[in-house]
Amino acid sequence: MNYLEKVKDDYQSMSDLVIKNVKKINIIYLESLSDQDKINDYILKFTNIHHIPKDITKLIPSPNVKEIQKYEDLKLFLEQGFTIILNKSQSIAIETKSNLTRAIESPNTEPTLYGAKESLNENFQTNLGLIKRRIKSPHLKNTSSIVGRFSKTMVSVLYIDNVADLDLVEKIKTRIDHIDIDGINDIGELKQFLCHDNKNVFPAFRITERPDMISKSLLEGKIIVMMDTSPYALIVPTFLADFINPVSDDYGKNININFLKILRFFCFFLSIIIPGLYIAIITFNQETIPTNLLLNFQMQRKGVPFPSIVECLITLISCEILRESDIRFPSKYGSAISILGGLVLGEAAVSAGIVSPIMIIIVALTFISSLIFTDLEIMNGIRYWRFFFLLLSCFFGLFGTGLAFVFLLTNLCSYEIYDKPYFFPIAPFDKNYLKDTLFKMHNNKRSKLLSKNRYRGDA
Amino acid sequence: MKKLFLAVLILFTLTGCFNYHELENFGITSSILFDYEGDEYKITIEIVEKEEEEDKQVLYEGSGKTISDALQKALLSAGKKLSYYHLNAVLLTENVDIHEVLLYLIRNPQINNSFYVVLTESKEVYDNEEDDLGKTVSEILKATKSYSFFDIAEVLFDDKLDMALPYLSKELRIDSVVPYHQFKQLEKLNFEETEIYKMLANVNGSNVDTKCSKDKNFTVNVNSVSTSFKFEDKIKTKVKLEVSIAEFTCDFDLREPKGIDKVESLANKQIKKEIEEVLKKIKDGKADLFGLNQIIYNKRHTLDKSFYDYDFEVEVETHINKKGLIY
Amino acid sequence: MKRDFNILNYFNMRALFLGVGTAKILITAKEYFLISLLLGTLLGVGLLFLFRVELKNKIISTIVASILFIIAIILLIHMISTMYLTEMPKLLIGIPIVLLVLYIISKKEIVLYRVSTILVVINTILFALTFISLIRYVKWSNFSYTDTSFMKVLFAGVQYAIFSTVPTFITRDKEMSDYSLIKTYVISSFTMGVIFFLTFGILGPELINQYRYPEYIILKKVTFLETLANLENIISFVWVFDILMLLVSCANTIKKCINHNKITYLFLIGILIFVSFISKFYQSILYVYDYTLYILISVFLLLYLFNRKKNHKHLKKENPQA
Repeated sequence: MNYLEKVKDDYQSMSDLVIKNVKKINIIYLESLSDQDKINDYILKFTNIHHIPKDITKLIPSPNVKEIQKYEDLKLFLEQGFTIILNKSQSIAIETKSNLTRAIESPNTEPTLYGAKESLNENFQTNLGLIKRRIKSPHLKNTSSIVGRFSKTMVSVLYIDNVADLDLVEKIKTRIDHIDIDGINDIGELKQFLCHDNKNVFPAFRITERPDMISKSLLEGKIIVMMDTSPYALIVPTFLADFINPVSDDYGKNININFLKILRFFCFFLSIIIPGLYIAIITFNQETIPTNLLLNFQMQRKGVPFPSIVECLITLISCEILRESDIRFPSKYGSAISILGGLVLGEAAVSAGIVSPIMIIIVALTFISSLIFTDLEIMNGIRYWRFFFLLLSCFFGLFGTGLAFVFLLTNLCSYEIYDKPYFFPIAPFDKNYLKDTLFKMHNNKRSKLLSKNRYRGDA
Repeated sequence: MKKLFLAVLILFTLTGCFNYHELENFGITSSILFDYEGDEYKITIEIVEKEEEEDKQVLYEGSGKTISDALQKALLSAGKKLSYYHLNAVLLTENVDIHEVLLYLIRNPQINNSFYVVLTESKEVYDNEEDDLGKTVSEILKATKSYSFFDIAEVLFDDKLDMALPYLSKELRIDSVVPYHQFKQLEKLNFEETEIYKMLANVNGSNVDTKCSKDKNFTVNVNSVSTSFKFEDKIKTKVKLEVSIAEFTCDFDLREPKGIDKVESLANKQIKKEIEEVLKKIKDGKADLFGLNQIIYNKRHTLDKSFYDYDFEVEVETHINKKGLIY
Repeated sequence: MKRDFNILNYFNMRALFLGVGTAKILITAKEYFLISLLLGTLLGVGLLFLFRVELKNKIISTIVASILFIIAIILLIHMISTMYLTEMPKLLIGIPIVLLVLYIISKKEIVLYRVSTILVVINTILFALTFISLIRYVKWSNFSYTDTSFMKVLFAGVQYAIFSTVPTFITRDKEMSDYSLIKTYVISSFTMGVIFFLTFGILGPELINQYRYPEYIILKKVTFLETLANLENIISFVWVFDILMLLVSCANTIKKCINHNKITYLFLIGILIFVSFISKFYQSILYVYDYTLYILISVFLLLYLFNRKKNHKHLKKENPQA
């Protein structure tokens, strides 16, 4: 029971450690993590009696009281914001955490017109509360584990008991338990450990901050990983079709939405193929263009000193620089920067004779179709394939574009995350999942790959 | 595996691209003129460029003993890589051996399939200062029966079939048609006979003029025509026309069915007479322009007697379905 | 899974028709090509039903697969050298093709079937577009009488059966379901029949003799909305995908026989170098054109002699009696 001495020893040079001695009991807490009002309400008010009983738990009206068995537990509780009460025979910990996070705000990376405007924040219990408001069932389970030697962050896995695939849950849990790292800051770092095939450029997991997206995925049979101090949640397993559609698609009419879904799917391939196709047609297979258009192109390219491929590379790279700087710069100066970028890439480059106007149109089309996706990871993945297509088209023309297309298909079809294929509703063709994501129709069944409980109905 | 891949890719940056041609060094050919004079081929190539919203035409010439020689010399003065993918028209003069030229064009793999072949007088057709002569010629030729790539190829390789090429005068008018028999030129058909030939070849838009009395006449314009040939001891020609009346100064009353019947019967007689004249001309020249030899071969399974050994029988049916706004 | 096997065979059944099969059958059978197609389909169905083959003798399977690989890659390189890249040396054209084949077989086998599912859909769409735009150019006068004897029609049927069924014997395995294979065969015969019909109807019996790739020449007539013309380079990807899938199945068989990955890669690269030496001479495509039928027949007999599948059902029936 020399906990007091040990605590004074270990936390020697901390200025926010407070040790209070009230009538032979010691109250220890860290001022930065604890809420003073709660300490007053739960503890200090009730110590004003004459005789303090042996079992202090009967005295304290706090809702969360835990007994301490070992010294490591005491350290853990102290660092989480609990107040430690040390008596001669007993040591207990009472929860008095202060609220150090921001309020619930509207989502800023996945905005929609219709739908709920709540987003997760850094507090784990708030996030869990937002999800449990949407799924009120005893089958929603969540486990927890601690990751990180210094950071000791809590990571939790959520799933619905009779819908999700329990083997997958076990695999994810064992993987999380095997993580050995100093500290973990955000859920993005957790991604690297959960996914074992890091060579593929496409993202393996989806990150979201909307609780309605999370509840929709849980009901389909997917598994959610959440972390304290991170306002995002991971969805496992993910397929390519999920990145293409936002959650607000469910809130509109099927017939109108299907047109947009097909458009988005084609935009994925369009933004990869267009620069390569343009180079192939202009330099190898000029017969595909109608005569008048070809004459226009020839006139526009007269003053440009570079070959087409160099022109294309210059424009693509400067667009990437522009986009990167747009994200980093604070938004108050942001509007002036984008005007500058537009001027530089547009008018000035054309009149200086560095690029031709048609190249600017092509690159603009490429970037506009890639901005349809909300996830930054997919845009980073598409970039590599765009350059690969450009390279093969520049050497082999239209034939090279076709071969590069088969390369892309093979790469997408061979990517598997926890044995679930990435190109899922299309390559191993599954009608039920297709009706949920890529072409919305009325659907009563869950897909075979995600859950063994096929029929919706039993809650 | 990956290192092999990378090594090969780097190899490509050192070798250079073989089929890669920049657009500036590209000569978009719109029309070619073949001429034969004094044992030499003389070829004129028309390349189209665009400068600030106006098309510009540049001519290059070359001459040599064979077609390839002449084209090579023309290329040397052009300094560009020629592309025949946007070819609009090929102009031939009467001195040229058509068989050789057409075989050369068909063997070339980099040529499109929608150019037209025309006969013309000489190189002076380019002096008309048109922006793009090939395109103008192809627009003009859409109104008559013209021969494009595949039609020429059929005629070249089928012994039984012949062709009739349109003739372009210096002022860019298609006045007449020249039929060929085994690539030898025959007598020209004049303007009225060309209209009848168009009818027989299933092309719309001919005009036929008929007299109803001393100074009065009427003209009909053909909207749709269908000609069919059958062989039963004689070659039976059946022509069905749907016409509309363009000019009318006769005394018949178009309000009554009898008047229209009379107009139709007069038109039938006139058209039948003209068709028989044209067919006689073609028969004398032995030119099989309509595939009649194949029809005979289908029935008799031998070709000991060609189509000119048989008689023709013509039947014409006209239907007037439009007559304009007034009676 | 059983369905997926036969999607791969759909490509195998159509691959060898590119420059060699279509022209030969149409020249031999002239206007009776539909009859020879029907005869060939019936004969092919019989061949598929009666002869069962499995992967027993590894050396013979390797030899047969590499012979087919050489024929297919000569066809593909020659076609691309004529149509797309006319000035490139043939070795450089062959390199990305072989790299793609090596990349695909380095993945799991299930990936092959997924990729072929998607390529079937793309093929069908392109095919339907061409059919719609070419049907108005078919001339009924081209189907007129020519002097062909019945023996020639029969010979063309036999040619069709051999060209379409022999590549499928390379990839047949134990888990094949026969009836879905025959369904696939009938569908591929139907598509080939449509291609024959279009080719013969547009070109006619005289012009078929003159061109090496008649099914490519008719694509020059495809126009959309009178502006987009000359799309033949995009539409002829249908055949590039066909031959690619045949190459991949042959390479897959070679990989199964030689169990070592790196030796397979070196073997295939060696075949590429050998082919690039041969295709410097134009006579190589002529030999392929003339003698493919006999090579395929001998290959088929070799396969059947060494790799015959024994019927286990007969053995089981005999045992209870003893």
